[in-house]
Amino acid sequence: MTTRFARIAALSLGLFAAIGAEAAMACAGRPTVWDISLGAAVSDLPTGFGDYACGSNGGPPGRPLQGFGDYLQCNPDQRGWHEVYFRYDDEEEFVARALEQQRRIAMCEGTQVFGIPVVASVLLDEGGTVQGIRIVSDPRGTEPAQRDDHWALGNMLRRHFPGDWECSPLALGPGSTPVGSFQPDQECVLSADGVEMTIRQHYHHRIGQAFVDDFDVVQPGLFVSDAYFEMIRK
Amino acid sequence: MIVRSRKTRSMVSLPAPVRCLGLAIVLCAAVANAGAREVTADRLLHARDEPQNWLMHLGSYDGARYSGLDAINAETVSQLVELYSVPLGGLLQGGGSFQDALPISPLVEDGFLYIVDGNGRVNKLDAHRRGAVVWRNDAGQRDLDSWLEPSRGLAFHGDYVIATSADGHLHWIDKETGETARSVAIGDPTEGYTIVAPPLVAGDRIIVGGGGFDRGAAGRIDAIDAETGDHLWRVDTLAEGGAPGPIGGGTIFQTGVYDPATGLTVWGTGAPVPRFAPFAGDAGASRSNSAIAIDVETGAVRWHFQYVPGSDPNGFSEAGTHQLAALDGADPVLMHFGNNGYAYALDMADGSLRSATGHVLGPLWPGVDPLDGRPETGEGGGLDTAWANRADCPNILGDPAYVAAFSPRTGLAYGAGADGCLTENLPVIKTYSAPGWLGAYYAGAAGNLGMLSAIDPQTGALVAQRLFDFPVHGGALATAGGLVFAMTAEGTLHALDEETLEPVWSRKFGSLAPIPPVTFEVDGQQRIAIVVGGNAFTPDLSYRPPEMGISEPIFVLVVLGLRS
Repeated sequence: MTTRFARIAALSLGLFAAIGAEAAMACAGRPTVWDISLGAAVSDLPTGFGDYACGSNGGPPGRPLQGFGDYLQCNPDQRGWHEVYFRYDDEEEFVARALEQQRRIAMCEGTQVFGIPVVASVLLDEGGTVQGIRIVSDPRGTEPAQRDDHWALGNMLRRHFPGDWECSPLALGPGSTPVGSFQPDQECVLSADGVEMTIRQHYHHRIGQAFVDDFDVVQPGLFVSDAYFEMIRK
Repeated sequence: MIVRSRKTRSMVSLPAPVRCLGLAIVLCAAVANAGAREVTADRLLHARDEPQNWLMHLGSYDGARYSGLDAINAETVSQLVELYSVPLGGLLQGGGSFQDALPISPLVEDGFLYIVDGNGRVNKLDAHRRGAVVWRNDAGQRDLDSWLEPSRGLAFHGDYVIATSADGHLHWIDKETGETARSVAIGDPTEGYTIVAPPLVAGDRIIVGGGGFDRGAAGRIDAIDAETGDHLWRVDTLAEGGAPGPIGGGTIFQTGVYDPATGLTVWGTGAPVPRFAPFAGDAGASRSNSAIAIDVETGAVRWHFQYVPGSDPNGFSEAGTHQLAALDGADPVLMHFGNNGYAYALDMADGSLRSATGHVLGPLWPGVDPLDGRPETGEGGGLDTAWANRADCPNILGDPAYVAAFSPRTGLAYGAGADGCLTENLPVIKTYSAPGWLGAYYAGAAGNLGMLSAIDPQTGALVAQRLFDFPVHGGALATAGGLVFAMTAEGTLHALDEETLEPVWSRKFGSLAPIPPVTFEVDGQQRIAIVVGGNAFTPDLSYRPPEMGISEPIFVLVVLGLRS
């Protein structure tokens, strides 16, 4: 147990430090979701994000906010936590896109985790203490050829936080079918010493969805591919 | 011989019509039997002794992509024409197949071609009959995730064609019937694992390289018992222990080489993931972007050589092929044309650096570290900082996974790829035909030119170099006819002199080819076979000169031969 705690603690700290170093190298210190520490006070959260709004459990942003400090304007969830949505500073990305600078685009691109666009949010309790962070793959403006990898964000997060993840398959809804010969839909939980991480990932066809429809017309975008990650204090 | 004696007896005792029928049957049987020869370990070991065939993905264990056929040579190549073509599927990207040609190369045995198509199906084609389909096997490809690429090639073992499928399985397909005899899972696709590299049969085992670049699965190399399908060993292509480090990558995209003398197989590994933004430095990625030498018998890693550090933020990938350049009286040298702009020669025995020669143009690194072979900046800064702030040449789109060639005739290794820089740096490079030409433009890159370099592995000397107006996206084929074949992005296949790299023949197909041709012999005639069609770079073209206007999304195997 000590080892697991040490690993998670080290991972959290080491990861944040390492990612911070990379961010400094790539995008002049632009903050990322990994710069938000569990247990931090809202007043200590990093600045430099943008488009603050009330979160919707990984969905689109709600009421616009001026910053994390306005968290009480967001309705609390069942746990009494307020979800604040935010985005990374994307000014450098716009410049890079205008100049067609592929490497700079890749290093500074939008709100992404491991190359996957995400909806990021922080969960604050009534007193303004960070209780969790949430990362959900963001399908907005994503081509099918990239969206098909969104479920794999869960794979990368599990590799990034190694441990004894307990995984159980998620049943497909009525009429849903696997996209391929395998079905990665599952929920995985890693819990140790005050931190619990949950990953849910889906990759399937909903009822009526197929890559080729009944008229032999290609429908390359008709599939569900997403990942949901939450890291909370326990 | 047995078939012939039966034929003789039948012809004596039967009336004429029946004799004809019997003769036809016997001839068919003879042809079928000719294609049914067992591909033994000894035949694979001496694959170059069968120049009429192309028995493994890279031609032979040394990865040379060299053919001993010489009927097509500098004197005769002007008579080279298209004989026939075979459309290969598919046209439904995202619907179970790919619309563009993929870097898939055929195997050839006794006039029969075995090739994977865009749908991932394995096809047997009869080159005696203009590529007629003998059988088509899709058992391993049904219900696959259609966003995954099919394997780039096949292997032979005994009476079987060894194929992989994108869901991480290995298949034994009967060469004669096309039936799947056995399937074995190598990796877990729910963890992102897939296979695109053709397998390598070495003795009694099948070596499989895989991984899941964008899906997080770490690269790995597995050995499978060719007779039983049992798993023998596995090597992780990222650091031992795994974390903390990259969350994926080290993916295998190309087949490894095998040195029977040392019992080592060497595979090139790709970049760590996430590309462009590794966050954990070298710690967890000491085997990414490397050559890994593995003892085929035990699976022990004897040595590895990292071309690009795991902390590289530039996105280089060293997943391209290696060539074991072994000449009489000389030490075997392992060659690799690096995506980082250097052509490396390593000592095969221990992986030590012999030479690193710049093989691209434009602003390059000031040099390489004589000890670890990594490019230097000359700025005296730390490696990570230096790599982050380096110039943007060579282009990362240069030659990430192309196949190079080695000719034992000339003793030269031939690396063909794209040259140029990212748009952060736009030098004007002159080609022979168009001074000031910047090449075809790619999104995020410019000044892309085609480039073919000939390097002496023993000395590291750049002996010859040829620039083309358009990038080379395939690699090279060398032949005993004194020619080197390469194809440029606007769809022109070039045959060049093996010493000077001067073009001696070219033919425009009007569509890209993502892999160099193979050559074989059927009915006593030398043939050239090449896959043409759009390729993965087509959507990246932000500016297409008129010459590239017909890079259509097709996937066709074209077979050429000398005009009779």
